[in-house]
Amino acid sequence: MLKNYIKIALKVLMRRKFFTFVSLFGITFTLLVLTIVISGLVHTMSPARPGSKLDRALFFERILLEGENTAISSLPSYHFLDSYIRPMTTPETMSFHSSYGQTDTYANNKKLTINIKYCDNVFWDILEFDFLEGRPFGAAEVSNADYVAVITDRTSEKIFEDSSPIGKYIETPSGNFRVMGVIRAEDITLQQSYADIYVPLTTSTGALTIDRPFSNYHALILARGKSDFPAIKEEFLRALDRAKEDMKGEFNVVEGTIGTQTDVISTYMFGEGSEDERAKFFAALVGLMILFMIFPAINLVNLNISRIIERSSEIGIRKAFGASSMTLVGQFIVENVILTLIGGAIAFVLASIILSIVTDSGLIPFGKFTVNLTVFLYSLLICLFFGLLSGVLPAWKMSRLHPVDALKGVEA
Amino acid sequence: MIQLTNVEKVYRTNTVETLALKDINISIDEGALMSVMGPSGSGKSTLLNIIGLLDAPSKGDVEIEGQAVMKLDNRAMARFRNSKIGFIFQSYHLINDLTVLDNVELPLLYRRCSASNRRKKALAALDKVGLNARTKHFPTQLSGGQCQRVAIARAIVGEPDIILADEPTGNLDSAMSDEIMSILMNLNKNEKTTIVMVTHNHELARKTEKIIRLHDGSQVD
Repeated sequence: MLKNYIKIALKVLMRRKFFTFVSLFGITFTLLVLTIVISGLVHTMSPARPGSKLDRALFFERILLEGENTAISSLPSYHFLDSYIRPMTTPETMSFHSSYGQTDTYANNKKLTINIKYCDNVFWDILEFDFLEGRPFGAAEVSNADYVAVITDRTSEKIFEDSSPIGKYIETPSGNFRVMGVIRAEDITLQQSYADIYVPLTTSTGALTIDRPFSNYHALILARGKSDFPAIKEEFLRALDRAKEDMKGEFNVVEGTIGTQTDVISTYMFGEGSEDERAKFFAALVGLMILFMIFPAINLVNLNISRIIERSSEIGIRKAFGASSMTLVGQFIVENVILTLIGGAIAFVLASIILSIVTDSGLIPFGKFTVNLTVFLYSLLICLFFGLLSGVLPAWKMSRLHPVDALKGVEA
Repeated sequence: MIQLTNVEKVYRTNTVETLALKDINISIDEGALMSVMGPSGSGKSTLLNIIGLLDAPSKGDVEIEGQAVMKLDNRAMARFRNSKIGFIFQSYHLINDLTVLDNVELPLLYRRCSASNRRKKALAALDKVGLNARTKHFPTQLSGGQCQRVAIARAIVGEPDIILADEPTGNLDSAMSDEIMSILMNLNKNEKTTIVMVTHNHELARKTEKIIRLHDGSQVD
């Protein structure tokens, strides 16, 4: 019977080409957008390699300072981090690094603008990049303020083309950096860690001498385990209290948040101080996903009703020859499931193609996007649910049609 | 075999009440070949639909093979139709998206029957109506007479005890009508299938053993 259903489902889909196109477009587009959006989110929010140290990393990204007439919300300065965060004892280790800034360099008599990041040696310990060539700079190079650099393979290709960059110099207005290591650009999965060239933070002329509490530095704090997060957060609050005490007179509010990558993103979206930001964030995400899928489902219900009404004669014939209402509902469900699965397959192929184009284009500088199979399957499941819902309601209504009326409906 | 007692059928809308059948008492024996005649709107198709369990009477009892069929629930009625009754309609009512063979197999889909067995039975039914060379054609590729023969094959494939034919030759020319009628008469004679046929055609009706005449919903004789 199933074979017969599939056969007729395909026939009907081929016969009603416009309906099939609209339905498939709705399903494919919905799945495509969801897959791509979620791929982006997963990419931004989760560590590159499961089980990597980033699983137990906390980020300090924003400081809020309020004085009599001032209110500043900014990244902290190196000075602030060094004075108040470095003395913390509960973390295993921590790394400070600047936001990337632009600098000019020259290659083959052409000026190039590249993104430069100042960081310490611990940065490399926490992020555990595989080095294509050379090695990261270590504690000695940082303390000596050596003009050395780690670059990405894309930067290497742009400046040195096919030759090995190790030992060669990259000219910048602030000095010539000797390349000592190359990492793969697509391994950079965190927006905060993105740059084209990484140099020791001690080579930064201005940043280390700024003694105001805000500037453009990030703290990447590594816990010994996730269970240490509460203790680290507590110690972090005590560090802020100390800072507030020291800055009394200038600022009477010194606040900041420390959290996982997801916490940081949800704080940006929902503001600081939300109690359960992660739960809120995911609730909003799921809500948006459902909302996004409801509209095509309603559209499908309407399309299905008109499609099934056209087939009332067939319903009458099947009833006359012994089909029960439930059997007919089953038939229309199979048809909808087939339609949804075809849409799903198209969406999967399209999403893979689009994501691979986005990855290859380098449009999103730290991006390596792939179709997340779990997410895709969940989206497909939700689509199937709506597909069933949109098929069952009209099918149930039509299956209850009086056989005599159904036969009169349309001449077969 | 089929017993209708004091059957009445009233169609009601918000404003109008139409009496389609009034006090019908009919007894049809097993293996009978019977025709129902009457002018348009006299209630012939309504009577056939009630016998075929496609419609329910407003009053009265319908018994088929000793069973009070109106007491059956929808699912049991569907099963009963599937196993006991075959329908032939004036406008064939074939499913255009299915091939001739798939159309004929249709009643067997709703009972326990393997795919190979379905195919075997459908081919045998098509053989009986002389259409076994057209199994892969679609209804739109066939003439009216051929379509009706497919419809007859579909009606007999499940080996029903009763065939209800609603003006089976209404859309056909006289030569084709004779051919369809002879198929039905052979079925009645050889398979002992009870056949109730609605027709306007006096000549065809005369070939049946018994004629029931209806006028304005009432039995005339």
